[in-house]
Amino acid sequence: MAWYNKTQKSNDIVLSSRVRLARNLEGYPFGGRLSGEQATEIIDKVGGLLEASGFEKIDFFAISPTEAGALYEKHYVSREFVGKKTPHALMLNETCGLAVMLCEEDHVRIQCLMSGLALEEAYKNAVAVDDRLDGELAIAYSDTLGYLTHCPTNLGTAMRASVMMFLPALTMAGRIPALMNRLSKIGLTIRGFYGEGTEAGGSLYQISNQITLGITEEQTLQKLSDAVKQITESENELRALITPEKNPKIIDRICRAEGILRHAYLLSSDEFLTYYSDVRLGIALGVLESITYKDLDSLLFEVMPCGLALSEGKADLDERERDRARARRVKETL
Amino acid sequence: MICEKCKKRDATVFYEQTVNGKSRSYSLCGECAKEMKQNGELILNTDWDGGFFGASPFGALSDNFFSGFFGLPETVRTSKKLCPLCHASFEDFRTSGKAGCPSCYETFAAELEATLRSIHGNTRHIGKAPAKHKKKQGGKSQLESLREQLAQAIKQEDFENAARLRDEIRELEAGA
Repeated sequence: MAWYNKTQKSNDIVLSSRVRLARNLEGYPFGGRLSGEQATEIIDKVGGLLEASGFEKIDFFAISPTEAGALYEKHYVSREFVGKKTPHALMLNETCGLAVMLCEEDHVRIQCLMSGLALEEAYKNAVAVDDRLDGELAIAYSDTLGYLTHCPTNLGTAMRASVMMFLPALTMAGRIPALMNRLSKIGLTIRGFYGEGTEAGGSLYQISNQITLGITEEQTLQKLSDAVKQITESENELRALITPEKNPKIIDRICRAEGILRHAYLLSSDEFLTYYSDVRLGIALGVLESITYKDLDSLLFEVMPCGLALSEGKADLDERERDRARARRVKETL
Repeated sequence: MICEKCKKRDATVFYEQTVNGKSRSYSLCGECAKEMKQNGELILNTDWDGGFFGASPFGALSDNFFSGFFGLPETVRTSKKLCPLCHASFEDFRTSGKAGCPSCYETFAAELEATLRSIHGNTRHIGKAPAKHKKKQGGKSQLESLREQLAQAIKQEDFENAARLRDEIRELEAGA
């Protein structure tokens, strides 16, 4: 089962946690300097080891652009990975939330995605894969600079830990720019999960570490997890101030959003994100009781263009067909 | 790779030199590179005694910079240090913002130090290490190993290095 299908009541504010470790093999160039033959060699070496550990191999040259796009929409691979011209493959173990990109900008990118706030567990799962590879392959590492990566911003631990948070109250109160400023001072960063900056679609944000050199993995996870707890408190404090008596307009917006999601005949992705945010806040405030986080959050990853095309059994959908399919999907789920 | 001049020793110096707009790459051993430098056949932007990798970050620029001030000499020559594995120059690194291969970090260590400090506020890794590197460090913590290096530097009266190590130890202790 994919991580986004495991949403529980406790995922009120934190939707998911992700830990990504970048690793490279000694003796091979990075990124654009890597030849097709060298990329294939790396995929065979690393992919072979992971296949023996229960991973499924997805060769990106063997799948359709729509299938590749759907894997991007599920956040298993990056946008850059989908468009690569040299051989690249994804090693997937959905049960453990593990997705390993081979020959992205780094040779190996181990990612673990977990539902809710579970940074330590995600790190443990990613490290298990790292140790497996470390035992068999020569990993590029320097005693001074740590794990050597294509981009110097990842040197050191080469770990990027991130948490996806739903922050509608902080967004409405205009507190995101101040939060952005505060986090940057402690080496963390916040950005919109859909779209950039403060105009984040769906009030969904990703908070992650920026610094990887001169800090241990444990310190990074602790710092991020402390920040997430503080942000959760602020969001909850603001949510507690929203009442039907004082904020009838917010309650009205939530109820209308539910109506539109349940009954629309055509639904664009921007509209979906706006109403998703209102409905999700409605569940949190106890205004809407018949919709679960699990159903709502699963839609987030199923109503994107490529995912929709696949579920409709087509290679591609035009905009009108997509909006129709999205509305139908949302209506069926809710 | 064997030195292209003596064809005996291993090549350890990789340079690209441009003379009047024409570029030529050299793969030389240390001795032949030194000899060619003394004969004026090769410009190396480094204080020879400081070793090949102690090059000044302004080295490659200074030829052009000064010729701009004093009028162009008859022959304009610049030279570039290249990574022995992927043959990327520091210019390639700086333009793309990314390393060509893992060896680039060793080749351009001196040039990169300031950049790393501005990105991370630090230049030394203190986290996880692959199993074989842990063994190499003999199970010692990084702090212990730095303290040993400091003691050694003081003994050898290498005060510049000692000051750097002392700062690193302070940083580590403050972070712990």
